[in-house]
Amino acid sequence: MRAAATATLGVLVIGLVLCRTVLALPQGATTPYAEAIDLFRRGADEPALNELARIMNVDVTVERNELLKTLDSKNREESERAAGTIRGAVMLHTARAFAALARGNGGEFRYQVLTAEAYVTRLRSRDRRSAFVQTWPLAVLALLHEGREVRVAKEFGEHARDPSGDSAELLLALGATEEMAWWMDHEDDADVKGDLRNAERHFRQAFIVAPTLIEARLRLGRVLVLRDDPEGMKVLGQIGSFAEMPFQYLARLFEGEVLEKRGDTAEAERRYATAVSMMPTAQSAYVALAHMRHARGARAEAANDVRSSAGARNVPDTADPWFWYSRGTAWRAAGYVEELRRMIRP
Amino acid sequence: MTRLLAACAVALGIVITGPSMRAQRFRSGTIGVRVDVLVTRGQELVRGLSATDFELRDEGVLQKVSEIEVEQIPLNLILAFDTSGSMAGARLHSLVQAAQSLLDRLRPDDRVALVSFATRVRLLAPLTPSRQQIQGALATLSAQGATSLRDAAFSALALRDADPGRTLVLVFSDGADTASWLRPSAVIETAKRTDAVVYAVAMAEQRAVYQLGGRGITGVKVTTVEEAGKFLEHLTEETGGRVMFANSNKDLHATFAETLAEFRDRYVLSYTPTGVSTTGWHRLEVKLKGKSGKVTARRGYFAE
Repeated sequence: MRAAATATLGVLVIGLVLCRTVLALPQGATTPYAEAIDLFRRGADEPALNELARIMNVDVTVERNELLKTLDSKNREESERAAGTIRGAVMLHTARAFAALARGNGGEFRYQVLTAEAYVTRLRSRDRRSAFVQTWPLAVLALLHEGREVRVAKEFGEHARDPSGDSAELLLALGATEEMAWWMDHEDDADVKGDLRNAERHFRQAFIVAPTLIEARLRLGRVLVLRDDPEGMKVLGQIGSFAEMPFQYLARLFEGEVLEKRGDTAEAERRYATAVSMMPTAQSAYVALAHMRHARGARAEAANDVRSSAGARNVPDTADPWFWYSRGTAWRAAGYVEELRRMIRP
Repeated sequence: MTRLLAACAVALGIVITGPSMRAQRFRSGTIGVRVDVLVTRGQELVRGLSATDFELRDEGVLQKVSEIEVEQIPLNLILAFDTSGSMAGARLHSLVQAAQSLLDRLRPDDRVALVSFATRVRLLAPLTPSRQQIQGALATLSAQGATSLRDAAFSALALRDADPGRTLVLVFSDGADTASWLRPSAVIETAKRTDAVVYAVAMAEQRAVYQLGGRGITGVKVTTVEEAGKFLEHLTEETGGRVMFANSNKDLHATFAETLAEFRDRYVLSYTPTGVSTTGWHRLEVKLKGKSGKVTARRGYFAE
């Protein structure tokens, strides 16, 4: 025990010495932590994560503190170099966090995200409008949505708020988290609570910040109709031909659902059919149409709908806007991550 | 009554006289309701029962069971298989092998359909007597994507032909729904409107994979199938079927075989409804008279 403690202390001291002299160096002699960051920045993800896994958390803390000190250096070049390393560290710890989450290790996920977050907080204090600082929380939320880790997304979302004003995209992500949580609670009996009023508030704010953000309008309409608010149909009805086809498709699908619930099956059928005609390869409107027809006794028509949709060949798995909608902002994840990766390249 | 009977014909796969085997069971022009029941005592199936051993009530009104059959009616087997990403590898291989073994146990006049579901529901083969067609479709299965369990269950139920054969929908899934449009209650409502019996085989765990930017940062997450289990239990109970849990890939073969054997050993009770309303939901109760045993049957049917 004593030997282990001594060894740890030894590593710590060595780390401290090395950090002071090495982390700010561009290349060449390096610490394992700096090496891991550098590997990740160069796209060697797996070796980078393996390297990080070998480093003790206490050493990471020591090196992180040193990096942050260098960030505050009056030497502009040194400070910029540290900022680049920190951006790489943020992504490295984020990757480690999601690998841990995938293994069901929530504690490790939190530790790694908090480490990344501590870096981001310092970067934000230098420049709160930097693209990296703005994009990182969006990427984390989008990845959490992709994994349907809604409870974690809710917790992370609270941390991600910007006291001086959230971006429209962050508001959209926060609202989508609430919407997903509500849905999972109500439909899958999952142990997570979502509040449609909070979702509505976030979407309204997003819409104010960015009036052209159609997704905010669509989601606002959706949560309103889920709450049986008549304004919902009006909002959905505003999503017309100016919007991209997937948004129009979803608006008609959601309208059809409301009309079906009201018992106006003829009009519901028209909306579903409109959605089908807009995107014939999408399955959700076909399924909605088939289900409604089956319920009113038109079994042959329902079976035909199923055959038409399920029997279609060479349709990509992800051709349905509903699939993306139901995953919150997951459809934006790849774009966010790619953008962040571009920003950390050496 | 005419409306009721006509509705039953749609909702319950009613048997109308014709030049086939079903004509032998009904007098000319007669329409009846058919109820598929399983009788067990402990873990054992109870065999050798006759019509007089059953007490059947439709909306609380005692009905006369006019016919009882076991095994004689051709089977429509609709396979709805989960092919989401978590099925990749040995699990999918085991599933295909178990399905092939199941095909070998079918009779010549049985028909089979194959539906796969991941992010999308795919009809790979419609109801067909051709084992070769199903084998070919099984060979095309690959695992990728999310899980549209509820949409697939609905599709399988909706595909059921207006056919005199008994329909067994066999749903296999290893995880919770992550992609369906339909809500659980919507699929349960559909189940009430068909005469199919749904059996489900669920794996005791699922695997989910995370990726960060598609560059090989992946992880494996193990969670329970609890969420899917709730829906499947509700669905199967509604139709008089049940959920079977397989603990490992190796169990699949035996579990599928057990499912088919159990379905074969069920009794099909037929009766002509009397003294009941002409529309709406009809609650069914089936009991044994003077014998011990547990009767599992669908909870009711819709007359429209």
